[in-house]
Amino acid sequence: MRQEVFERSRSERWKRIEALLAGLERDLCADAHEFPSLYRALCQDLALARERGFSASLIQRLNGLALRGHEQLYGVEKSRIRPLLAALLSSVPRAVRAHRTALVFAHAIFFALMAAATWHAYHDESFVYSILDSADVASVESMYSEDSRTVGGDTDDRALMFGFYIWNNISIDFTTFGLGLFLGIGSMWMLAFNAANIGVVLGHLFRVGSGDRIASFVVGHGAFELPALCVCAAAGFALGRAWNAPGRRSRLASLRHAALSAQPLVGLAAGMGVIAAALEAFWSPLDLASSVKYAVGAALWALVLAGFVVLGRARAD
Amino acid sequence: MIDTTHRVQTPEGVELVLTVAGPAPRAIAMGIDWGIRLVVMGAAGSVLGIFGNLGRGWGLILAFLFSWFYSVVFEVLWHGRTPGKQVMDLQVVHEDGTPVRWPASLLRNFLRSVDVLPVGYCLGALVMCMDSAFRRLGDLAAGTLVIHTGSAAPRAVIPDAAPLPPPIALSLDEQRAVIAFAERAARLTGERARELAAIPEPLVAGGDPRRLLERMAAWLIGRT
Repeated sequence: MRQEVFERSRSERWKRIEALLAGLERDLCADAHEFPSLYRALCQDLALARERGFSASLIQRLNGLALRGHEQLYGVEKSRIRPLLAALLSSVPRAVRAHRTALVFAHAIFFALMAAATWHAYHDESFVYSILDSADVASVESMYSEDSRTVGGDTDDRALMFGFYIWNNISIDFTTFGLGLFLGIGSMWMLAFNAANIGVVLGHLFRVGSGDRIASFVVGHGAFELPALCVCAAAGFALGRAWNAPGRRSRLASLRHAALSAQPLVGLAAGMGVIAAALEAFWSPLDLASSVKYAVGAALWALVLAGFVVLGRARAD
Repeated sequence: MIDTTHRVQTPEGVELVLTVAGPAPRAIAMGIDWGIRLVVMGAAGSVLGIFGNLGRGWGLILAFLFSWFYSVVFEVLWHGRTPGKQVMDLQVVHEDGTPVRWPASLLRNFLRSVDVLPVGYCLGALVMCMDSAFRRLGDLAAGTLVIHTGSAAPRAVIPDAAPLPPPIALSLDEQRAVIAFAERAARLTGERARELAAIPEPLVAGGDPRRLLERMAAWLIGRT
């Protein structure tokens, strides 16, 4: 059969398919029961056209129609918001369970390094200057000195800080996850860097006598902010480990599997980051007695720990 | 023929061909998206600035959402296209040809922070050029591709000519070449068309090469 004859005999069918596709793509088509058989016939036409060596533009047109039909038959229903929320709620516990070891490991590394940095900066006057430069140290000292304005401020200032913390901290969390692609070393570096920075600031300020001020300030939001970083680092470790030790899959397949399984952790960290930003902007600067802040802070830490335990509990099913 | 195509096996037994997009169109699409984001953020910033620090706070949150989630929202809710990609006629799809969904889109956009290292998408471009389907690190991890949709190509028609059977028996590839020439000839300059048509000398020995090939193409596709 020649191309012209072929086109003429099939053109009716192709027009019908075009019309059906246009309807399906706009969700207007109520009755498309003939679509699967038409699509099969279209695939046959495409294969025939390729085999017979018909013109490239005809093949391209049929290919385009077949792609659209393929999407209608095999593509998942158009994503809407509700499936997203439902997926998030169910996939987060699953991810926490699956990556328990990485989560514990990331938290352990972070807090161990932070404790070491704090202890060292407390005992050694010059240690803080090997991590931070003197301008930063000076600004931190003034932020937590007797007459600083860290505590107080009006609502607008607080809103600005809220936006800033979201923009700054959650971006750091996301980047920590992404850097895990480099065999997990990138995430490790981010963990170590942040742990060292926070640790030396704490140690130094305790040394110069502002310890109570900074501790009462950070204990509240730290319960959400620090674990958020560790959770993202754990997800990054999952990426790096997948590439390095792919098990029975190819490296690429292993990377994909690990990425999709660790991704809900990033969502969890983002949620925690938002809470941390809100606390840091609206709760921590409140002018309350230190003991109140420590009490609330301890409660928040307990809450986060309990949350992890509950999420990570092995399910009977 | 060497081509940047990715073939999808379908349950119907036919192969669907996706034309993968290289770094250049993707870079232009990215540039357009940056431009749009810049304009919108600038406008939002000046409006929000009226509200002092409260407005600035919201501005920062908006900047955060824009930088991480602009592409995701467009890609999932608009059939794999961001405004920049729509202009360049590109689409983000899964490797089976279906438009991208939430998990893959989130992943490929999160990993964008790695692709921009050390500066200006250097790592991403490098990985793209090393991969057979032009995938950057985000695409590799998420299992996505960026393809040309090719929706704008107009149907090529062989010009009217009295059909003439070729004097020599042609193989399938040769027939395809003659038909393809006849379809393209209208878009070429006159000199170029004549130059190309003169190549198969035994075929076009007896007259104006271009006209002869068009007549043979008309016969080959079965015009009477």
